[in-house]
Amino acid sequence: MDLLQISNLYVNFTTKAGVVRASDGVNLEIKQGESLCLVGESGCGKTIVALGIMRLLPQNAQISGKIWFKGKELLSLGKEEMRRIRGREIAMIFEQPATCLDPVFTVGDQIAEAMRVHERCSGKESKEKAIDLMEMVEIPSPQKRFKQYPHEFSGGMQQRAMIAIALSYNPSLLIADEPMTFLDVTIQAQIMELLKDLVSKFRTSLLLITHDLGVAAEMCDGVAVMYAGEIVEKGRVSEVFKYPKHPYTKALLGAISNDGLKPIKGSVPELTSLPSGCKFHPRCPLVRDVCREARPEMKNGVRCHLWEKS
Amino acid sequence: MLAIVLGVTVLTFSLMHFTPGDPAEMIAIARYGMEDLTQEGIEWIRIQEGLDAPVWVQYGRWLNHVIHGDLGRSLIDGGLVSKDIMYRFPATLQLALASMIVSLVIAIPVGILSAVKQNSAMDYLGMTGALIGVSMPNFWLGLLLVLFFSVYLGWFPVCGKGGIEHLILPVVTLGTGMAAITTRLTRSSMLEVLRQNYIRTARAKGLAEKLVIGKHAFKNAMIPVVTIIGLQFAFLLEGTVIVETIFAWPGIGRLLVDSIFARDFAVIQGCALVIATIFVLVNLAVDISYAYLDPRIRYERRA
Repeated sequence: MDLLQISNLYVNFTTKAGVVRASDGVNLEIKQGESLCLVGESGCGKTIVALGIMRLLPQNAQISGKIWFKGKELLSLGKEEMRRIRGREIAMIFEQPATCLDPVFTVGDQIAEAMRVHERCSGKESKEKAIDLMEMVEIPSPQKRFKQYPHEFSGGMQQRAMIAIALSYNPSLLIADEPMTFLDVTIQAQIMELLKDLVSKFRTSLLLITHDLGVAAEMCDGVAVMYAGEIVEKGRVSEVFKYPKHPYTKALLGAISNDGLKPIKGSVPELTSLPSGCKFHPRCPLVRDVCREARPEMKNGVRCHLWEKS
Repeated sequence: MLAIVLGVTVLTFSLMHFTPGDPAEMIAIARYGMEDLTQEGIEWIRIQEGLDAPVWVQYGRWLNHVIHGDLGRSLIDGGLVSKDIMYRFPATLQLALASMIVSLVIAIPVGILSAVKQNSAMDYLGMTGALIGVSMPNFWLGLLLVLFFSVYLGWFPVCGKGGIEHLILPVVTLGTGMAAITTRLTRSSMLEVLRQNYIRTARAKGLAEKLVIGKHAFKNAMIPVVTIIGLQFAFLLEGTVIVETIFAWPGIGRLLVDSIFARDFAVIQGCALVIATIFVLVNLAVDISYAYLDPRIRYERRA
């Protein structure tokens, strides 16, 4: 059974420039214990999907579709019920950990805080648990670090603290939105190892959002490739990365191939004025007439006219 | 800090020197009355009070006395300036603190609610109120309040100091203007903070909205507000001068105005010194509370 099932998720923002279609009918499933990565260029709507699951989108977002999680439909839950799921059942870590920790409270307090609220445990108890968590995410000398403020932590340590917060309840699903971006390469590798270890130790399902295909290949079982608000290809990492079907996936993989960088021509379309037909057609090297007119359906894990017949 | 206080006294001293009107003559009128006024009498006072010396000598003498803890005597009635000020000061302090409390009690909740419910009816109402409050000058609002509540309705006394009923109108006059500015600042600061990533983290942790707003957003949003409260204290001291005059409130502001009219140098200098010192102390208190609110500043100082 799927732990999380997103069906037909549409997220629109009405702005002065027009309607921004940030998520345009996204379908995704994550099984219990599975880790799925959502890859794509910046601005294709990956974060919107993640925030949609958490129901943390800005108030001006118009959301439709269904998000099933453990038999509950998240979009129809009351605010209070949703709050109980956040942090406990679904936790999230973000990019730029430096901006994600409150600068005026100690890191320890921010880790202990959620426990005090969700489990109603005492200050002392929550402090002990927080220190255990800090040890688990390998923050050195946690007793001392507990009392320090976020600005006294390095970027890597801040992200470890964020992971400690996220895993404090042993959630069923962890959403990690570009957790390695903005960190040094060596630190990236450490954080990746840590996340991988913890996820397998706690048997937590993972939704990893990244544009780093190397990270995706290293950490995940499944992959979904997103382009301009829709999923264009999905499948097992081993298969998709070896035998990519969609021209966009091929181009993404080609961009980091061994014979140097090969940028994809053009850029992600403005989400206010999406091209007709297949959204990738203006950049597609294999474009045909049908691609300009009709929007392809998702079939056998790929959304492309070239694969529809076979 | 000392330099600021010193600068203020130098400035008032020289400004007083340049204001038209012969102080010796004014003092003579005050002491002996118009009828007994003679040229000899005026000259005698000039020499007696040391007003014949160059202005910098006068300042030097005064400063020397202040350093020895002596603010001098009033040129008019010969009473000790320090005693006058000590006698009047509690009334001003009462007025200032009450106004401050009133303004904060209005401004902070309204500012926060306006930000949290941005673009709601509450927000528009709060902001319209703030706009009116900002644009209404103290002296005008004071007179309007007196006209309506004291003269027309007869609810409160027109002026003077006494029980709580005497305090209400002057405090409302002073407090609302200040509340207007603080409300707007609280709102914009809160809106800024609510956009921050750490607020999203707090929500992602599953904290209740009242904890997200009341703890994380509040403490961050208060940092600029505290600064402005310090600056507003200057506005408040200036306001007390006007409001004390309108409501005949026996405070330092009124003393200052009266002594300016009487050219009572010693009292003017004393008041200026006290007001400047208070201002500097309040700003120091703001800096200290800053370090309490914002650990990044604490850290910089230690390093």
